[in-house]
Amino acid sequence: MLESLSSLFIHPELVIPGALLIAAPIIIHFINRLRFRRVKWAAMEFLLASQQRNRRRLLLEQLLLLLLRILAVAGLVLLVARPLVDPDQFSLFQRQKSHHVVLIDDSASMRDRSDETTAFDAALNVVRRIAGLGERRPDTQTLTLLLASKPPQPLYTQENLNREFLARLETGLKALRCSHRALDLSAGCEAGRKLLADMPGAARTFHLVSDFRRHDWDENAALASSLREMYLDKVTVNLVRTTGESHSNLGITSLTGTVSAAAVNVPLRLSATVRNYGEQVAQDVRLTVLVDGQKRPAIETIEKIDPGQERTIEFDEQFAKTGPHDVQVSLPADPLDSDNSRFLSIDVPDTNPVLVIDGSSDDSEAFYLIDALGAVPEKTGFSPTLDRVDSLKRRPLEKFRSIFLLNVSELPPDAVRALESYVAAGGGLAWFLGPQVRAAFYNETLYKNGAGLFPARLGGVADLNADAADPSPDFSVTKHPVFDVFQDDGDELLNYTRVTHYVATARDWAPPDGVRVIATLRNRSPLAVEHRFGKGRVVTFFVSCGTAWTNWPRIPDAFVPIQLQLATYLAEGRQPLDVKTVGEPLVISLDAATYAPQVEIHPPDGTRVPLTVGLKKPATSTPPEGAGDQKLLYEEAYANTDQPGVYALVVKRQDAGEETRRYAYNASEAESRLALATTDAIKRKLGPDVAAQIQEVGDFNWVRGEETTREIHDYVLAILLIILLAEQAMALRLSYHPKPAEVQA
Amino acid sequence: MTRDSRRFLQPEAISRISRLELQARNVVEGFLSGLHRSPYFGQSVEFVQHREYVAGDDPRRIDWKAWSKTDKYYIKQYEEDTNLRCTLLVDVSESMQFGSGAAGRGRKTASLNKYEYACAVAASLAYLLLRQQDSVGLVTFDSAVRSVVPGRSKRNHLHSVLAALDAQDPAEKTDLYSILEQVADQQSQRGMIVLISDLFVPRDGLFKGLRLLRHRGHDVLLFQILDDEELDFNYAGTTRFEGLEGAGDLVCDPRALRDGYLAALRAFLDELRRHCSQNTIDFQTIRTSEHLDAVLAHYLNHRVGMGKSGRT
Repeated sequence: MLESLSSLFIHPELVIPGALLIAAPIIIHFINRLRFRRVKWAAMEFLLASQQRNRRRLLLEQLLLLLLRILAVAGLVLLVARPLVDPDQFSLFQRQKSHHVVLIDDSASMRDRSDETTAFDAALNVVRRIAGLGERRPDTQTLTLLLASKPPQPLYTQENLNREFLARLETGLKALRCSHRALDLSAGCEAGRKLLADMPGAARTFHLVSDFRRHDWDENAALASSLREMYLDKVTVNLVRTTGESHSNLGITSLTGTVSAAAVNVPLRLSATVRNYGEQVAQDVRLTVLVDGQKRPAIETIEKIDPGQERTIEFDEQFAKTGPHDVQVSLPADPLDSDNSRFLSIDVPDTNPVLVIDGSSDDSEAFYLIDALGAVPEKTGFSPTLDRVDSLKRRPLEKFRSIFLLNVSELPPDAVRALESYVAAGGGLAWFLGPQVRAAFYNETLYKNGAGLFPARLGGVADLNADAADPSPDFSVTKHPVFDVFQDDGDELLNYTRVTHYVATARDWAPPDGVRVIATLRNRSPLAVEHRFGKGRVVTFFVSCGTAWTNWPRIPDAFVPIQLQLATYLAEGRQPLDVKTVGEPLVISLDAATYAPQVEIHPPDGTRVPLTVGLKKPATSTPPEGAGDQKLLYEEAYANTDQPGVYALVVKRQDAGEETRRYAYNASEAESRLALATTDAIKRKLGPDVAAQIQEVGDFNWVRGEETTREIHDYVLAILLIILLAEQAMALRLSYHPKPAEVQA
Repeated sequence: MTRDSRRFLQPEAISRISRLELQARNVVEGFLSGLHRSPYFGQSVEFVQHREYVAGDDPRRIDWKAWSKTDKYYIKQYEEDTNLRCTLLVDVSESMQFGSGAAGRGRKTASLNKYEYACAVAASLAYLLLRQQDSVGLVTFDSAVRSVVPGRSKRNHLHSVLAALDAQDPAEKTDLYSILEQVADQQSQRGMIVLISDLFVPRDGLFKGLRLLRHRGHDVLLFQILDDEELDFNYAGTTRFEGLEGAGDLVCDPRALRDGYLAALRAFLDELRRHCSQNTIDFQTIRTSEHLDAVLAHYLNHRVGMGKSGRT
């Protein structure tokens, strides 16, 4: 009984009690007939005459009134039971199935929490509502369920909506988790469009269940375009909101530091940036720092962050042991948890090796540099190695964080190639010139018209023409990490620094794109320039590193910090901060000669995922020049990196040893923006020709071709109002209500 | 006069109508003995004419002197100094027991039922008439005459009238024609007949009886006593009306029937008024909620007005 009613009413369980209620006016009528007062009456003649005259009219009026009251009760019952009129049931295509393709947005912003539920939970409830159709009209509709994180792989494809499927679906929905990723909804829409294009049926509906953040629509024209195409293909486009308001949100947008210069017991400067995505000022924002899972006692506090602004705080961290260390910075809980923590994994060595090549015969150029970098390695974190030019051919350069070439007259070709390979792969190189430099060699072999390791075409050695009467410093610096020491109160140090000679650039040379002058001499000649070669950084000083041409090395406060900064800066190219975003595949690339294909991945949730990495097929094309010998590699992309945190990759060497590599994955900054797109804005994006249905949060009237349902609901309401008005009018006419004059009396 | 019977004599009513005594004299022929000539023949000192004796005449009234001269029997006729002979007809049927009772709904005081009110009217008139030494008789009736008090003009006759009013126990259905016919037969001399009733009786019999009384030369006064609810019918809510005098029952919503009821009642009253007018019968409808003194004063004033305007 209920089953048959369920196809006609949203609340079929109310129909039978409601039908019984319809008898209420009749029962009340009879009760009133039985409950009367008695009056002994003399003038019965006139009363009977009146009754005789009005009997028929009274009977009709009473019956009409009773009928109106029965109809009023029936109308109320219908209003509560919510009758449905499905045009499909009357259509020629009623034997064909209706198809629902549902795309759930499972991007990180759907984790937005309101009360005890998230936008993603609301989305799952929407799916349950749609699937509820199966219970009422089994096997008349199909459901295809897509996740925005996996558009090509539907969770369910054209499943008949019936009880059996509902049970399976419920199990599946319970297992679903919202991702932490930034997702492109247009890809999901496109997948849905293609699926619907292949589905024959009377009605095809695409439900996009999402929080509809403003950036989803403003920065993604393809989304509106895909939906428009669907609409033009006669697909009903139904956009269902899962959150009704924009919540305030704080997110850590970056956690960085000079990790390439990290070394045991050397303070490492880290910085964390917090952005206020809300519309109110955030005050006393407390950041908690965890190192290797241990909470640091000190809590960093940002006093105030204005709406839409971000603030950066810096703090020093010191590591007592070599090896990988994980740093986590966390904010207090807010509606969106994904961006409340940021992770950084740092591989801390004992020291950072630096190779110094001195071209002078007496190593005089390297004296001060070696002293600056490596006098106390446990404090600076650098361990410089001094050697000759010919060692460049012999030494494996990869182990050095950076290489300093001082007053080198010329380099053998294989040394040049080794250096080029080293820098192209990310190594840092610093040039210091000097009296022995052969400009012709540099121009021909190293500059190579701007394609080589050296940034400029050289002229010759020049005097700076020191003028004792001129108090201005001999050189000036730009804002650059290397010259940080001069940025604040270090300008005074420049006044003591003198330069007598330098190597001038050729007259016809001007810094091309990619070459930046970071320090100039008093006469505007470049003192230092920076450019990139491959992945590596190259910084070139046109003065000596010794004291032959300048007194700079003799001023420790000006020389030592700059060399340390330079070594750090150069090293960053060698070991750039590896910032990964959740969802980004973890590419495993192993030298087959050194490592075994069996690896293990330890995601942040504590599980262990064993993996056998496949052998990469050797490329058939010629390897690029300088790329070295082609190696046989095991290569695999591990895609299940949805969880923010540190992923450990444990690899086994052929010699049975193990190495652990750690990768920090953080949530996408884009998903932190919780501002909602308004309904009008979405309609504007879709265009005036697209009549998409946009459902507000909590409104489920649309479920089951529900626009029709709503219409009949409105009709019932209107008819009920008319019935009630008629009943009142009739009751007044029958004098069941006192007339105004009588009431007043 | 028992204590109970005195309840029909309302001091306010008596006090007010007593002041109207002089006017009342003008209303009633022969109001006081010798005040003016009566159109009726009777025993008196002022000779009018002789009439030949016919069988049945009182032999004591034969003029023997005329016999000695003419050898024929003649009877002397004198102008009679008459008192008013008034007969009060009071309806004591079951329908007169109706009374909506308590004060409220526009009613200033708790009212009497129709029977009580009719008795009060009758007692007041009796008191007035006896005080003027007029003759007052009483007939109470329902379906038949229940009691008869012959007309007397002695003051202590009021006790008999009041006792007869009080002694009734109304229960039967009204049948007015036979009553009026019986009264007409009993009244050998013309006089005043005062009928006090709700008149909820078959109309044909009523009108026929009234015509009979007028035909016999009686002056007929008709006091119709009705309750407020009978005139206004302000009942609400489902009500079972149980007809007095076996008129049947009716369960209805009174509001639905009110207009029809009032129309039927109005038609009845109009017909009654028209009939009375045609037959020169004084007709007065009285609400039981109205003050008796005011009602009687108003009525007697009305009668005075009519007398001055040339009524014989």
